[in-house]
Amino acid sequence: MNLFGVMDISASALKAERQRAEVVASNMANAETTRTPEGGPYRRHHIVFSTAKPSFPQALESRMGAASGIGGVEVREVVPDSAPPLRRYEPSHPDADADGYVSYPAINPVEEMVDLMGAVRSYELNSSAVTASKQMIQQSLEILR
Amino acid sequence: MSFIDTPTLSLLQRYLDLTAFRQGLVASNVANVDTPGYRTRDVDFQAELQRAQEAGPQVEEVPGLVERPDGNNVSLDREGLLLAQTQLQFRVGVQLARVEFRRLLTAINEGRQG
Amino acid sequence: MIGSIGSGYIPQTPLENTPRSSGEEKNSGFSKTLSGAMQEINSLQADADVQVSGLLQGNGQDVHGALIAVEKADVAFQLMMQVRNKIVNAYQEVSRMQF
Repeated sequence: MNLFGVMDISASALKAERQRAEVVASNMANAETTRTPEGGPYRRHHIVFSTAKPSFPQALESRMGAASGIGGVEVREVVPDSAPPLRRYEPSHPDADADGYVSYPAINPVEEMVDLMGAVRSYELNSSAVTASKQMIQQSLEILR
Repeated sequence: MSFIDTPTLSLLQRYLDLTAFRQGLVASNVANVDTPGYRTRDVDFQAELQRAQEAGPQVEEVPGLVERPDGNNVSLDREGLLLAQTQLQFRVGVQLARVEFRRLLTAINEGRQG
Repeated sequence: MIGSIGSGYIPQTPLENTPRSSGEEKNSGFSKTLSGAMQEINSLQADADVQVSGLLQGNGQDVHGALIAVEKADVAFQLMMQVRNKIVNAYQEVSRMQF
C-alpha cells in the first residue's frame, strides 16, 4: 500500500462519519415523530462501524494487509434502537392510543448533539489525515529536484 | 557502480518507507476512532530502522492507552500529533535524499573541467 | 644486432612483447569494467521502469521509492556520460599527438 492507498483509508472514514451525521440528523429531525409508514413512532437509529478489510490485491501486496485488523472503516449496519418508546399522556392527540397515551421516540436531543459533535471531530481529523498524505506525496516529487 | 547505493541513500530509503508505512497506521487508527473494539496500532520506529528488513515492519498494539466502554482505545490527540510528526519526518527524508543526489551529481559533473 | 629473418634468431625484446600484451590486458580489463557498468545502468533503469509502471498501474508501489529509483538511474547514467566524454577526449588528445 502506498500513500494513495492511505488516502483511501481516510476517505472511507469521511464517508462513514458523514453517514453517522446523517443518522443523527434524522434522529434529531424525528424526535417528535409519532407516526411512521411502518406504524408507530419513529425509532431512534444508531450506526455501527467496523474495520473494513483491505481490498484483495492490496492485501496480497502490502505488508500492512498482513497485519490484520488494520484498514479503513465501513458502516456495518444502521440499527433501530430497541428501547421502548416514551409514553406521554395526551388524550387529545390524534395518535393517542385507547388509554390516551401517545408514543414518542426515545430520543434525547442532548445525546444526539454529543454524537454529532463526535462525528464532526472525527471527520476533521480524518480530513487532516487526507491532507497529510497528500502533502507527503507532493513532497516526494522533490526527490527529482 | 554501486557507488549509487550509498549507505546514506539506503538508510533514507528505509526511513521514507517506514515513515510512509507509519502514516498508513496512523490513518487506520484515525479512521477507526469510532469503531467498537479497535486497538491503536503502531511500529517501534527506531527499532525498525535498525533492523535489516525484508519481512514487513512489525506492527504492535500500543500499550497504556485509555479504553472507552466500547473497547476502542484510539486517542485523537496522540494520532493528531503523530500525523504532524510523520508528515515532517517524511519531508526531512525527502530533502536529505535530494541533497544526497545533488552531492553525487556534483562529484560527477565537477570533474568535467579536469 | 637485428637478426635477419633466416638466422633463426627471434628477438624477444620487451619493446615487441610488452605493448601488445599490456595493451590487450588494458583493453579487456577496461571493456570489462565498461560493460559491467553498462549492465548496472541497464538494471537500474529497468528497476526504475518497473517501479514507475507499477506506480502508474496502481499496484500500491511507493511513490518515493519509484522516484528514488528514477533518480538513481539518472545519476548513474550521467556518470556514464561523463566517463564516456573523458575517454573520447583522451582518445582525441592522443590521436592529435604527432610523432
